Amino acid sequence: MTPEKLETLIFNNDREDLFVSAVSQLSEKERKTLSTHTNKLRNQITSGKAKADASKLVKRSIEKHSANYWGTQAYSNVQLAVLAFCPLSTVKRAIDFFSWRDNSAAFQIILDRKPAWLDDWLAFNLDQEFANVPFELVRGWMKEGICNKPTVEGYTRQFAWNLMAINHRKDQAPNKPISERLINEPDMIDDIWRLFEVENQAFNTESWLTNNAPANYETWPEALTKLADKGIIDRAKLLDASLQGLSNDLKQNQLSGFHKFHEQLAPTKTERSQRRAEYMALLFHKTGHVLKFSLKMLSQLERDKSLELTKFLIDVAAVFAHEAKGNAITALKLIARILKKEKDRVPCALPTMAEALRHPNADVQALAIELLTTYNEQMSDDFKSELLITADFVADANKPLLMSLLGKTNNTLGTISELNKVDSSVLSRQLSELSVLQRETLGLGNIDLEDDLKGDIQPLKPEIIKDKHFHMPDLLEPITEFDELIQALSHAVEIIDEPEDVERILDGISRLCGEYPREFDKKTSPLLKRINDGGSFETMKGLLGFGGGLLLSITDLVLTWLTGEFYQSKDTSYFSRTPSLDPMIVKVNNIKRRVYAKKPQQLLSFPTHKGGWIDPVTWVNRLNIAFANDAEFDRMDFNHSMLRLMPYGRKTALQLVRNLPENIETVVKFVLGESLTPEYKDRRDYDLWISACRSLDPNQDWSSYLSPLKLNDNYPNSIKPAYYEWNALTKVERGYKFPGLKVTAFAQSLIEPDADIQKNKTGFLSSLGRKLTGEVTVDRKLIPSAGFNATEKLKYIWSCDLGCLWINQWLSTLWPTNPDAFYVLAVTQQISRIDMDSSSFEPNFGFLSGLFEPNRVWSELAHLTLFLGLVGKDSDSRALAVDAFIEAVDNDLASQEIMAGILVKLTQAGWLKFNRLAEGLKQVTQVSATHRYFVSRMLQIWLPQIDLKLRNIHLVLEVLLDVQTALNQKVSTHVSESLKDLKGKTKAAITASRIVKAGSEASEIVRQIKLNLIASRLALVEVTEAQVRC
Amino acid sequence: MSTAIDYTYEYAFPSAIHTKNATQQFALATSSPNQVNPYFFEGRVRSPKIFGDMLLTLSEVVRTHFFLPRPALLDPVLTSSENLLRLEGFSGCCGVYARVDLPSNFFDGECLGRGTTNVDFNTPMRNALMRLRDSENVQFAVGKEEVALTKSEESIIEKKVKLPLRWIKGFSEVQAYQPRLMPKMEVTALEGLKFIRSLPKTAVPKQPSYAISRGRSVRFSQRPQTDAVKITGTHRVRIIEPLLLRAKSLRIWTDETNETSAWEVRFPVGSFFLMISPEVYRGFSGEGQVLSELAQPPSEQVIAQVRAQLKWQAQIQTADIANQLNLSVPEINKALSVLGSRGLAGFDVVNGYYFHRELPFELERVEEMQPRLKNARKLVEAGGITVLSSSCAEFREYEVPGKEVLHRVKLTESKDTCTCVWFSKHQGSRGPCKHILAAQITEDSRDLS
Repeated sequence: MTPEKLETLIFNNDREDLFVSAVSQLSEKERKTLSTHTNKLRNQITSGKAKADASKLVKRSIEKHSANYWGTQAYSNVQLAVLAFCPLSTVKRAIDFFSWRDNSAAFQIILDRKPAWLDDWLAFNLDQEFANVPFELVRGWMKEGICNKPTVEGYTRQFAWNLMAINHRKDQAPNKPISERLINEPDMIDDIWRLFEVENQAFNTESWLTNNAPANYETWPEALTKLADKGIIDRAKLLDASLQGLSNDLKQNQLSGFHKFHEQLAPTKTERSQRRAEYMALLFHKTGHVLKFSLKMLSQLERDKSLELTKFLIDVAAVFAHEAKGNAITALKLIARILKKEKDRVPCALPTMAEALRHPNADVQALAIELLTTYNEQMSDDFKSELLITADFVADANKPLLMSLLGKTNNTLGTISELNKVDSSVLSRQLSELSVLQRETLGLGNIDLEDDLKGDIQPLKPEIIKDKHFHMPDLLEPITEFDELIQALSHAVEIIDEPEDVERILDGISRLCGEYPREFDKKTSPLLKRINDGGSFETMKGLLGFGGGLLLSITDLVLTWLTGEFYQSKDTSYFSRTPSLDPMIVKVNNIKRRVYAKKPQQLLSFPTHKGGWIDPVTWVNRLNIAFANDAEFDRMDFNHSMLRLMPYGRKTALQLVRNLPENIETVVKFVLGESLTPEYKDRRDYDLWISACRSLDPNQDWSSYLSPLKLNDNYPNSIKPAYYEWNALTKVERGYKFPGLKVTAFAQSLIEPDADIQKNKTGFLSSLGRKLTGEVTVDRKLIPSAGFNATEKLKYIWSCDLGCLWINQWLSTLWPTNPDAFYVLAVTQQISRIDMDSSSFEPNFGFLSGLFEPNRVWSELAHLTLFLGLVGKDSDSRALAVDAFIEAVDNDLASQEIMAGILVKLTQAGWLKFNRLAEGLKQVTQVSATHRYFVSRMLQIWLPQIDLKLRNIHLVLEVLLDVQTALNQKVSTHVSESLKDLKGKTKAAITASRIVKAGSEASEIVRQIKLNLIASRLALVEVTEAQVRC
Repeated sequence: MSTAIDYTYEYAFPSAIHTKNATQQFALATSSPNQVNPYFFEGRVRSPKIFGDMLLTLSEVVRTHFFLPRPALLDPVLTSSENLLRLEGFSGCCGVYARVDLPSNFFDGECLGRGTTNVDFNTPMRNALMRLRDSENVQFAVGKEEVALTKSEESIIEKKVKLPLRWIKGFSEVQAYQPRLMPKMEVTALEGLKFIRSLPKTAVPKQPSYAISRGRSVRFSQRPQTDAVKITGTHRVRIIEPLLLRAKSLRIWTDETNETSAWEVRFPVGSFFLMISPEVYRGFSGEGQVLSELAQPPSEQVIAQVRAQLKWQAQIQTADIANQLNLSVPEINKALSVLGSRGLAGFDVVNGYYFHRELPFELERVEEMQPRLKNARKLVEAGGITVLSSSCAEFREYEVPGKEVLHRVKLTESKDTCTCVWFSKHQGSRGPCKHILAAQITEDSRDLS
């Protein structure tokens, strides 16, 4: 055959049978001569590019299908040609897909050629992840005697899968049942034993495999059972193979298929007895469901009276090394059953029962203690001493039972070593020296030290933070050198370690943009190339981004600095900006303008400390320098900087104000604490005044104070503070994600102050009236505090900014004293993924960073953000929420009342997952007695307000039981009454009953905790006074 | 280049525990590359339960691939010396290293030979280990006397495995990490257990987690804080849970950059040491911590001299060797570091000593397996690396060709930097980039010339 003829056969032939007949008589030598040309043709087809010296036919054909060769007749033909002419190495490489149209053609070509490499190729191909030689062809070639039966695992996988015939089509003839095929081709019966050794689908029990199967469909277990019943397959061998298979390192679902098959074979009493050693060995299996099977079979053996009891009582201890509760409980029940009949075996069972005390589950421990109590009299003193060592491993709720079993009166419960000893008389004196207002601010208004600490400690009032107690955060060093900026920027393009890095870079570019050192281009060229290549945009972990919003603005800024050209990109389709970040986009764009004009200046809003805070003294120095150097006055930068001022140190800073323009100086002095009032002439600087007011008190209504400015303003967090309302509910999804699905929903709204008035003032006459009266309409874009609350119905779905971790972490630092606007964003994002795993594209855990700010008493939205993190499926958010909860208790920033209120609302929505909540609370309670007390009080406020018959509520009740036992405290009468309503044998009812009985009326631990809390609150007053003096 | 080599463990018998006259006799089968089955130890175990738990946990590590379902069945290696028996294992994913140290007073017995061997870990042996109780009399042997004398062909157990090159490479790389580890906290075993049990079981965080010290306990946290120890893949640490039920304390180690962590379970006698790589999907093999040493090794003569001093010591006294060879201690340490990367020495971070052991695998190719170093050498050979005039006494600055761009490499005493993507991303935490290595090699040759 000539190469031209070959090309015609490949490109001008739509019948594979013609190809087969054309090549059938060729000798191996002739085939070899066509091998290279075949390979070249194949490469041209797959690359979509014909070679320059290719024939017209080849060029024309390849051009026609250059974009998509897949599925073309030419491709099918060339693959057949590879089989017909090429050596093994090419066949291995080329035949990587199911790429010919007609299996019979491929079959015949190999049959005619009888290649010496067929065994090798099949062994190679069948062991590929996606083996593509049809099993029928392999069987056909085997029957024709041109290859041996492959011994590779892939053959067994294909064997299992092919006979299962899952991919049957309705238009095909019905498949033969497996048993029928095995009877017809008995050599395949030898292959079935490998099904228990190799990973395959034969014993897969997933339902999709049998869904829509025809009536005569047979699964592998059904077929094997049928053949065993008929005596065609050795039943004993099947029983053994299914047990032996469990010892192989195979996927869990295959293992479950093995023991289900074993049970399906229904071994007789004799058969079970013959395999008792194998069942016993499975006690050491690391897979839970195999252990369960083992216990089931051993239990059956015990009933059959053929269990080796002593060996079992020793070996069963291995079950307690697994944390699964069910198997451990089953094991203990089986031990109990055996010991009831065989009392002499108690001594060998005692160490096993003791081992169960080390199990992490409290129910397992409780059952073990119960069992040990039954055989108390047979326990030696030595054994009891050893048992005492295990007391440390036992859950708090079980300790009294264990101690009682061991006859110990001085139980180890309620250790208060972690708490300081506090002298209540000293506290009493200190409390009496406080004014009523001070006591209220400290949350100690209800406390009566004289009357045995009656009354609850209330949360701290937010005012305690204002201008008083301030935890000084770590300093933030600015970037002052060019090389350092390049290095920081190069790293930031790849990944932002912490959001403060962005602040340093923005400030660094702003202050160094006038410097063009020697070799600027050489030093920046690798960075510029990286950005132009796309950087690490796709990971959303770096400084730059695509699509739109803030990330795009920062990208433009960086490129403007690096190239000297002005970059101004537009938001692209599908991506939208986040409106509440608009003030920051304005700020970045202002920097960019200055960078383009090569006007360097330090940013006023660059934080001096972590958390977004600015030290007022440094701030005033910056202002003095800026105005002395005639720097451009950037209003957004200035307004933003005021929102970041620390409450601490303003008085000192006030003394340093020098020679600022009059209008600026007045605002600066006002924000630093000087008593000044705006006048009508200041209306042009209304944005400065509003920002200064919000800096002084974020939650105050400043309308009457700012009334001289005659402002028409209804934006939340402008003149008036923002209020938020929210509710949790369930709704039917109509959106783009999962239409029709019932999803968790959340309704929150921002209440605009005096919305009606605003509406009435939009008409022409109103505008005219405002002009006549000199009223000024406020532009929200100028006021960052109001801008942060901006909401807008946006056209596009994806927000690139909120998919970026550092931005989510950064939000709470933009206005350190009031990040509520960003908690609203957080809550909206969290609720949309409440039942979804954590996602790299929506890293919601970043929103929780704001909860770790020690200088902020938590608002309701902060509490809500915490709980949505705690009860969501997102594992990163959950773990971080636990941390935030723990720190909030440590720093005394959270409120049990608010938490309980939030939980009531979330419970009513019907989607709260109690298992997740309980897991989180459990971790919090493990930290210290104070944390246990906090959670106890929160639960006791919450639980009486909800329906205690809800599913899984027992998990939360178990937390309460543990806590009450550890605190040795009785629950309140109110809670006790609610719990008594739970009746019956449910888990919730049993736990509720234990809670009611747990603890004592007067707990010394709780008393100590309260005294410690009061002492720490009173210490705030001392710190405050010291700071004021300083 | 092939990513794995075919390797055959050839054991004379399967490791097993047999009961004989109320004594549990546990013989660990041995296999060395030259197909001898050494006989190293015979003695009575003083704490059988702890012994069983430690070996089981080691077995769990070597049987586990921590991010793929298919486990790699790669047997541990045992090093025998008069002072202790040391078993080392490496997970199939190359991200977890485990070591069991059994000092001589763990046994009533005697060391019969020194050396390193593979030891057979099989399922029946694991099951038997689970059954061990302290009340039992357990005799332990590494190898068998009769096997050492006569070997019957019929009883030979062959285990053919694909030994990934990254596994061998990681085994060496892990030694480079250990000298940098520092103890961060130590808590009682009970507190350690509480901590391990508090680690998330089902929903494992994707972000790194941390262990933070809180009073006398340690707490799981998701926040990076001062002195917190970073953990990625908490399931990898959970593997030590069974050991803490009977241990004395848990000591936690980390390096300066807080990238890797080590978990030392301490028993009254003996210890279990577990070290995890910086990320679940990153084995130790790709960490590049030995690259600088390999790029600027001591002379082959020094390496050979130090190697000649290795005599299966459990603790190599570097000062003594330095005296004998008339070299400085840093030179000895550098040579040991290179020998460590060749599998000829390990580092015992607990005692701060190198120890001699020879990994029973083909190790000549370790250096070949370092693509970054290979690429750096190519850069040097291709020329085009220039020292810049900005260089001074404090630092040397080089221009090294990159892809369509020239990178700037700055070599300083404290930290070498580069403008390439690799360095920008990792900041040196995953070893130097090829440009820094090329500059280092160039710098070395300049110094020599």
